Amino acid sequence: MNETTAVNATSTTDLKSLGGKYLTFALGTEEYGLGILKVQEIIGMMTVTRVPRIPDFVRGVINLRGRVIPVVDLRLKFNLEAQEDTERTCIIVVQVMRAENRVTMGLIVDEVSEVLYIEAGQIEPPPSFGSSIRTDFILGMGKVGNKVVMLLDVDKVLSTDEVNAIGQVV
Amino acid sequence: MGMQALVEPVERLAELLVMADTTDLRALADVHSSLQAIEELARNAQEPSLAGILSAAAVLTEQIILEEVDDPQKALEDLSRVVANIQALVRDNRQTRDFLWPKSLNFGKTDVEISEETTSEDSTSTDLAKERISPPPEELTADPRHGEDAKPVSSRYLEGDPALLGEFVIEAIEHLEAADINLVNLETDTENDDALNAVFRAFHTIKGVAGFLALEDVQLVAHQAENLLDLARKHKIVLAGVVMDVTFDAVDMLKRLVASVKSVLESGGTLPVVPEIPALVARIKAAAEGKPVTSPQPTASIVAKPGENLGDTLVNAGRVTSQAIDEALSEQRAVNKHKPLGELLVEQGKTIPTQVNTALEIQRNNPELGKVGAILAEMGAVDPKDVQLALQQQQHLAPGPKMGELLVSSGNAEAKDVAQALRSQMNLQQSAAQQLREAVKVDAGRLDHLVDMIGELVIAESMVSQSMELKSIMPPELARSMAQLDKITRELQEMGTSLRMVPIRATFQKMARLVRDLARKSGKQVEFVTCGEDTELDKTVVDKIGDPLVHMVRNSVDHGIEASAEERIRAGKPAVGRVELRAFHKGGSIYVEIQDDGQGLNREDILAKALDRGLVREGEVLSDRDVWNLIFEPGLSTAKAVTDVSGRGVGMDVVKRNIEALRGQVEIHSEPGRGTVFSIRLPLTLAIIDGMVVRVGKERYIIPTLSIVMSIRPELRQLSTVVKRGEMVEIQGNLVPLFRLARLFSVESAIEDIQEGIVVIVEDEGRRTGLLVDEILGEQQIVIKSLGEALQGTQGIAGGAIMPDGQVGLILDVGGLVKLASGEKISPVCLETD
Repeated sequence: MNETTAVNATSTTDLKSLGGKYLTFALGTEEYGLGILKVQEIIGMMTVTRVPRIPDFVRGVINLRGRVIPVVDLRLKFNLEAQEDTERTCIIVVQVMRAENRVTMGLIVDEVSEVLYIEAGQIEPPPSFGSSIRTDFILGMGKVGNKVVMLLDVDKVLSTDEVNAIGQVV
Repeated sequence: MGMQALVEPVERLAELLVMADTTDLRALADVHSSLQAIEELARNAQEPSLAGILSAAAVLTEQIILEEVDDPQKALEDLSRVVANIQALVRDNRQTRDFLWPKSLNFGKTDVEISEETTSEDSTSTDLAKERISPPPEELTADPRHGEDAKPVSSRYLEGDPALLGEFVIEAIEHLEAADINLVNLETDTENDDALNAVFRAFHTIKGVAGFLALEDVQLVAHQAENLLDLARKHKIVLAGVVMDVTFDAVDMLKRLVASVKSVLESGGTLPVVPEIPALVARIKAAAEGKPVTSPQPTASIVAKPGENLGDTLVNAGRVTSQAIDEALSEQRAVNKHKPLGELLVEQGKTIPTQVNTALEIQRNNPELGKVGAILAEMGAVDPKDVQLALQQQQHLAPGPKMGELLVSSGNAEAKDVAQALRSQMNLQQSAAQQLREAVKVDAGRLDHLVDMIGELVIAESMVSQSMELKSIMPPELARSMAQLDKITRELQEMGTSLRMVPIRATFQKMARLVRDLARKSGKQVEFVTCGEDTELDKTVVDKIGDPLVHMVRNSVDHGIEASAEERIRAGKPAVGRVELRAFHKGGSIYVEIQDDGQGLNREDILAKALDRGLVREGEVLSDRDVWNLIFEPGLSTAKAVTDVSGRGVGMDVVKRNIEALRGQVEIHSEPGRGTVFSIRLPLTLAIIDGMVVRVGKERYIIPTLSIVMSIRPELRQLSTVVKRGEMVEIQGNLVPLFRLARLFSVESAIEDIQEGIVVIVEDEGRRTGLLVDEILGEQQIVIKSLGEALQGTQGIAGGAIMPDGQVGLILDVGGLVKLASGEKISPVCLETD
């Protein structure tokens, strides 16, 4: 459970350019994908220090080889019900663009599945549910075999406002 | 002709070199002076190109001495090779055309054919060294007649290797800063050859490097300045007054040019055309040409040569009329060398010119009566104490009456800054020849990384040595090794922390220049004193303390010190204002203080202003400390007039913010009529603090030990509630608000009964607050880590730290916590009760 390359990639909403490698992971029954270039590494669950007075979906901070980084519970972020950590619970360390800066963060997911190559042709635009459900952080829906992978735009999942908010909400 | 005369000295030089070692500075210095002597000989022997080679070799030696070369050993070898070649050359009386110049040396300045004698991997210099540069090395001759025409600059693009340019920018900035400092020194101590040479060398090096990087503007200005300095070195002119100003201007111009090179390097584009250069060059030339030989003035015996030169240069520079010079000259002729004392006394308003003249008259008629000061005191014209003072000041003036002084006293020139700088120099002089600390330059990022890694190592080491499994099987041999490892790790940690520490000297020295400029601008006389320049601070602090200090020093000079000397004398203070900057250690903190002996803060003015701005309410009772702290509020300036320097009310709030960002605090002590002290308290290091680890529920927090006053287990009688909401604890007769950390941070399963817990009394800006925690786990040194951009600024949390078990612990921000806590309370209610 370790180490993949970490470079920042530009994300565009152009479906054609979406083909590529994705790290897929599970949250409950749903399957999600993260552009491989956004992922710095995957680490096992470790003790998270709770930080007071920040939004609930931020579980706290961890010590990543001497650096202190915040970790976000994606379940809470996506309004799924909270769940006890299991042996398969992982932290995916990603690089998020915040304004001009690159911020390192951890995402807590139920389980990491695999790295998939998804062709541009297999990707469909995100569905529209009207204004009731936000889908702007979904780049597209990848169809792999008989399952559907929601490809996340991690910069938007933790949108600039929210990343800022993590620091400012009292 | 003449080559024969060189043989012997060159042989001796070769011998010296054989003995020399890169670390043997004395031997290298001998080599250097020997090279220079031979260069002189070569020049006299009409061998300019050989002189050029020798000069280049001397520069190389200098660089080895100053550790400016990457590989001193190799540079020394190269130098030996050069000298061997010179030896052969001189012995056989050959032409310099045949001279073999090691390819690895980047002194393309000689007009000799460069042969590829050595193969070097030093790629940066290869291209330069290959270039054959002719005509002969005008920049090495330092002759003002050469190459001083402001040639139109053809190319405005940067041509040099970006890496070399980058290095040049860094070095040039260092050189220029050093030059500034040395110039300030020189202003009083014109005889200070070390400083003079250092300034000369700064210009010389910049010019040389700019030359082969094709930075023509830089080269031109540096070249002119170098010529001027060379004349000063040869005692043909005196570096004072206007000549000094011109030199300062040249330094400023170079700084500007280097800055534009830097910005082009960083963001591309072309170098801007600087229209002021020709004018500056003309001024430098004018200053340089003030030679006695060209002077039409009769050299009367009383007129000291330096004085005459200065006068000429002043006129040439267009600073004063020749009439003024004539007046001053005749005055200078009329008095003897004791005159400056009278001048000083008049200047200080201690006496009037007629009294001095009378005294002089008496003295002239009765030589046996002794000194003017004594006569004046005898006459009752001045207080003997003032004479003492003036005499002391006189000591710091360069010997002999100077044109600058006379011009000042006649009100013709702006040499007030001379007098001012004289005083500021008094202190700088103590730190003597300003030994420029040379050190290996390391990228700050790498250093931080190293310090981080050391921190990691320390934690990893303690994890291993504390391991229970290991302890149970520990054989004695391993135990010894572990102890050894532990010791080494600790030493490494100490070393790591000290790596980031740098003396505050450079920052203080910048202030000296600032005070000089400010005092001049505002027409005040200010003596600037620094002490404790060697106090070491974390590099980040030294970098960031600069701006706040600039603001505060400005404040002190601009509206701390009284507007005029008369005002000061009326208040019974010396005419010359005094601003002192000091740094020292005290109680685990570093203090930086700025003290002036000016008028002090005006309580009424500040209160009126604050009332105006709605910062305080009518009738509110405020302590002095509260009032002084008001000046840190945005938009509050009590300066009567908005000046160029300060008084716009921007600044002090920023100062406070900057200092707080460094985890420091500012305090003000002020006495009306006596002056003001700004005292900045800073933590010893940004990286490591002592912390008290406390437990609340299942969470651990770290409270910086410095903010803890005490901790107590409260008894019932000490506790009281205010309107059933605010809790108070009585400490030594004072009621202190009590906050439950568990409630502030919504921690579960923490104790509810106050008497079972511990109250930690913390202090922030003089406000005491009690924090209720479950228990105190212990005290330890912790390395502060930022919580990362995303969580930066979480209220009540200053940062994180890696605990010995590898987890993250949170460090409490006491100030923020107190604000957070009191923001939640209904404060008006609290005010009612006691």
